[in-house]
Amino acid sequence: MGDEKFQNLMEELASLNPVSGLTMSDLIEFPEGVRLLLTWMIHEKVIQVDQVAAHLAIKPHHSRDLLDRMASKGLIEEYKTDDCGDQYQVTVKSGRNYRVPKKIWDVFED
Amino acid sequence: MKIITVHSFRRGAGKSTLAANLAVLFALHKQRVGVVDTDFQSPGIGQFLGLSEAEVTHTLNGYLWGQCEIQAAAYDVSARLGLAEPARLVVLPASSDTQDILKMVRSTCDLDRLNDGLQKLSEAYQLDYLLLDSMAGINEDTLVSIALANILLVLLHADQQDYQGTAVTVEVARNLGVTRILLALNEAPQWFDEASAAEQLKNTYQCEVAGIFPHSDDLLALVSARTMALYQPDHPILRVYKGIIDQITSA
Repeated sequence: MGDEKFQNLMEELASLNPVSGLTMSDLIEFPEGVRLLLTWMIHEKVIQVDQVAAHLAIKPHHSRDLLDRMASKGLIEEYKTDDCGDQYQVTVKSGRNYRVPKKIWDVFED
Repeated sequence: MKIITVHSFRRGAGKSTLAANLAVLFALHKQRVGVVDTDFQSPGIGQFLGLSEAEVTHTLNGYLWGQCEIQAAAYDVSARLGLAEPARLVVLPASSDTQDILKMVRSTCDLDRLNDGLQKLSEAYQLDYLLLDSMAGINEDTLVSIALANILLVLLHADQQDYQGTAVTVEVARNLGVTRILLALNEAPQWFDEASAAEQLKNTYQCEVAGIFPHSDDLLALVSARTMALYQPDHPILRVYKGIIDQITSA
């Protein structure tokens, strides 16, 4: 079961293009497994390899492979710490695509 | 600590009224509650809970912009609302200053910093519940508020636009893995068959219906300046709020 879940997640990740600056709008469009994993990680804030392994009921080395793949796709960031080992965090950027024309902002600056 | 996000698809559904009254009722039940105004574009929940503009020197906006620590933007209103220990009610207001609101429109809501701040707030005040008064609709900021929720409380009116919009909200929330979604219907007309409506909502959205609020002129008369929970604690409408509290705490 754990191996199957790991394989499914890796396949979902393979289908994703790398992102530079993950937004919530990106996240909501992701395949279900990756999407739910990312939202769980948002709740946990900072996570480690064994936490993911326990959460998904997969082997620790699979958990590391998964996290490394997610980091390579720009979905999470890795932090190396001396006392807690490698940690990972979802970093979400704002995805606002609309731009109010500058001349409107200038009115408020006056 | 549980995060309860109060959301509606459209503006003016009554989110702030709901969040403020729930916060007070939680506190009256000896709970420790935080209320966070994430409706940066139309803030105001602080006014329900006794905060004046003059005394609010630091806001959630300032914290997110790195201008202050989270504790500086948190206002403990327990004493002024007559709440005795162990109850606690802390408000994290958004700025109602025009320039700050415009700046927020131009800038971003940093999820990591917000998440970090909420955790620190929760630890500092040993909170049992954190109520997020969300912006309306679906946008980047409300996706953040929904994603952070342990419980999403969706408020709607009995009209077609809200019915359709609520379907969108529920789908988005499920896609974001929110495990508990509660519905509350506001301003139900006098002729409304509540039991039948609750059944229909439950079947349509496959969500629990936490409460149906009748139209209340008494609530409107408070003009968002105070909560019914404190001002008229025996008012019949409070049974609906208490029913929502029971649903939230029952799981």
